[in-house]
Amino acid sequence: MPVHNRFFLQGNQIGPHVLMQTGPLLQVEVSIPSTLAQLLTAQNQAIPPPVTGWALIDTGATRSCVDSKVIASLGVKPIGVAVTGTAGGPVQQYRYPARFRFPGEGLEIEFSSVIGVNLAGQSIGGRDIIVLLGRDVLSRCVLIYNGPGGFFTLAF
Amino acid sequence: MLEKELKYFEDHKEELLKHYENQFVLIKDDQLIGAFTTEAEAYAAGIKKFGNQPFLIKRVTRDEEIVYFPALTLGLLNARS
Repeated sequence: MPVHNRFFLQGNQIGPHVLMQTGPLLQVEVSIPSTLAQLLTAQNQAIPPPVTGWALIDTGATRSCVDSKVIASLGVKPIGVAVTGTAGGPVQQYRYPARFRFPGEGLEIEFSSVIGVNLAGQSIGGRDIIVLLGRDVLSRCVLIYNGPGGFFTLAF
Repeated sequence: MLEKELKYFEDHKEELLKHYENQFVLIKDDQLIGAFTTEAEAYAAGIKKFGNQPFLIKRVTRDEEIVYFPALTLGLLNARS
């Protein structure tokens, strides 16, 4: 099981406050699902380049989600809806197939569906959040959050 | 998008439960295309048949799963779709 430690630095030193302020963030590339990429290739159509941004590990989220404008910009069509619980009552959000790549971890996940939500303007320390990683991903990982140490560990 | 497909699912839910409970059905407009073991298989079949067009893939269950994002619920993140 590969183990990845993600340290958060303040200058040249490990900064527990940085992790506290940003939360567990990972660089992410959002791409079209491979099934769709194969179709576009077969039709001699260009495959849209991945959208890069940041993913926040959200242990409170049942499922992972992606910014709806990001996934729509890739030309991916919705394949259903999900009912999400909000303070204002249940809300329907579209579900999309998607592929996430985490270049720093060498990890790639093909999702049969993730939930599209509006994450526009969600920026932490100048890093635009385009993905929330929920417990559907964490169900396959070991996550250790080391607050005093200023790092987290992800093993999968 | 998908209003027609979702209506078809609701209108035929009992019948779908009888034959395809816990499977993933692929629906386009008001037509059931097929039932599959996984969502990925259903998506591959939909892409093959319709290309990159909207179609519905839905697990046939009696109760709808509700997904929670406390950050959204508490308004820490924007919940609008």
